[in-house]
Amino acid sequence: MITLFRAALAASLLFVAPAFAHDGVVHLGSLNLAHPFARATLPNAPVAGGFLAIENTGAEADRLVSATSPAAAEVQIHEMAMEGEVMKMRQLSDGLEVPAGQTVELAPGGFHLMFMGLKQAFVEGETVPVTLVFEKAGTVDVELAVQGVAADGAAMNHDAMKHDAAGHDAMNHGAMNHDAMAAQPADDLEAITGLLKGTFETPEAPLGVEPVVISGEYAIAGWAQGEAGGRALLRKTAHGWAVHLCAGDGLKDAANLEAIGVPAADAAALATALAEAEAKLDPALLAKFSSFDGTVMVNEDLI
Amino acid sequence: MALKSIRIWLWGAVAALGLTAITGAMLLRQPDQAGFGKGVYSLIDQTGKPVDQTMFAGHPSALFFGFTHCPEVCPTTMAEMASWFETLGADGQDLRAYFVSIDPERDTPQILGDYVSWVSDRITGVTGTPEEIAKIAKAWGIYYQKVPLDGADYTMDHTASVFLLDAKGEFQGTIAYREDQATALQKLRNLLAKS
Repeated sequence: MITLFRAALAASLLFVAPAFAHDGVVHLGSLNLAHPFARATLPNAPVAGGFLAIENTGAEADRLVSATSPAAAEVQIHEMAMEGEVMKMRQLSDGLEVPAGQTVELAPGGFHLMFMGLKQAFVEGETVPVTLVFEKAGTVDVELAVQGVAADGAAMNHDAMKHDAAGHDAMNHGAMNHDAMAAQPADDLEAITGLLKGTFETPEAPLGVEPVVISGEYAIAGWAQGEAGGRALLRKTAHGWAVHLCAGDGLKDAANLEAIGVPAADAAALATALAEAEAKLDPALLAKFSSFDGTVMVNEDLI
Repeated sequence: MALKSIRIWLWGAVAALGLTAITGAMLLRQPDQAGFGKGVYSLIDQTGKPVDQTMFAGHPSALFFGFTHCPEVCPTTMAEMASWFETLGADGQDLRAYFVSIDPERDTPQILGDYVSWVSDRITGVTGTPEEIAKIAKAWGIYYQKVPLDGADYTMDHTASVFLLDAKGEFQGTIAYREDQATALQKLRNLLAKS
């Protein structure tokens, strides 16, 4: 059985393009493959993630088109991203481009090799073989070192993996919105507060604006003025933030937000963030928000 | 006075734009339940025992929605949860955790049992019918969506935060995905001190 496997492996090696390893980095044509690792799996988990950095020192873009492994029924190329509090996963059916002169990192929180239908659990300390197929450079075998369940990288070289972050960001790699992963930007907060104060505040009636929760291009802001208060639903366009409508408790509910036209992921993120932010506020202020009666449409075309 | 002037301004804006406020108003309704996290549902735990919304009463809880076919977010969160339990030690003895599957078609009690047992003996795996899972997910504002992959396979997009509940089962806050260990532990300690 083992002999058979070896024979098969030897046969398959005949078709593998010349590759050699140096300091743990596998070289294949103009590609350098560094820090390959996988994460150990939990009991019964049928899937696992594999990671490495692919540097293209050549003058031409290449593309990781597929991967296979004897450890799994199938290996796909995936991209993960956080949009607000929602994790989104996409299969990259056309593979992953490695632009000339750049390094593409397959790393936790982003691109990864998705091992599906595991033949056995990935155990920390062991290695997992994977064969990567590139459009131009050809085929290469890489051994992924299995690390802890939540390991972040091939331990020793974590800083080195970060050096090309700027190039990574500059790449255009699909429809996923990586901006959503950033923390709530202070200028959005300022813009929304400024908009509401600019619209509603008068010298004799100061307007309080809090909390403001943002998910992507949607936001909900609580406001209070004297004994009155309510919640505003806003959207950011090319012209900046604008109010879509004002309401009371209705804006606390993700299903309502979705019904208004807010994308489901943003609706869920807003409702959760709002609940969390409002849990910290004075009940008297919350009562003002609830006191807004009905719905007032301000700019229907916005959402 | 202030309220009136805002209303006048807003209705002026509505009139000026010639819009129908009715559409929006019709769509807005009060939430079904009294508060965030409130719902009524019948599910089963990893031993097959029936559980419902009362499972969160009597102890502080950390609640996570995930699935075992999850390559990254769920194992990472489980690993972090394991380290929370370990670091809190005896201080955290009242804390319970829940892993609710948003992929109940594939996550049977048996599969969930081994999966969550890796974390701690104080975590409960929860699954059930898709209809009942939808109810608990709705109560907690959880977004989850099947994403087809090549072949007949699929993965799930889903909300990745851990919800913190006090001993009455009331929502107290969240721990974000990959929140740093010190912040997460402080949030848990605050929760334990309150409960």
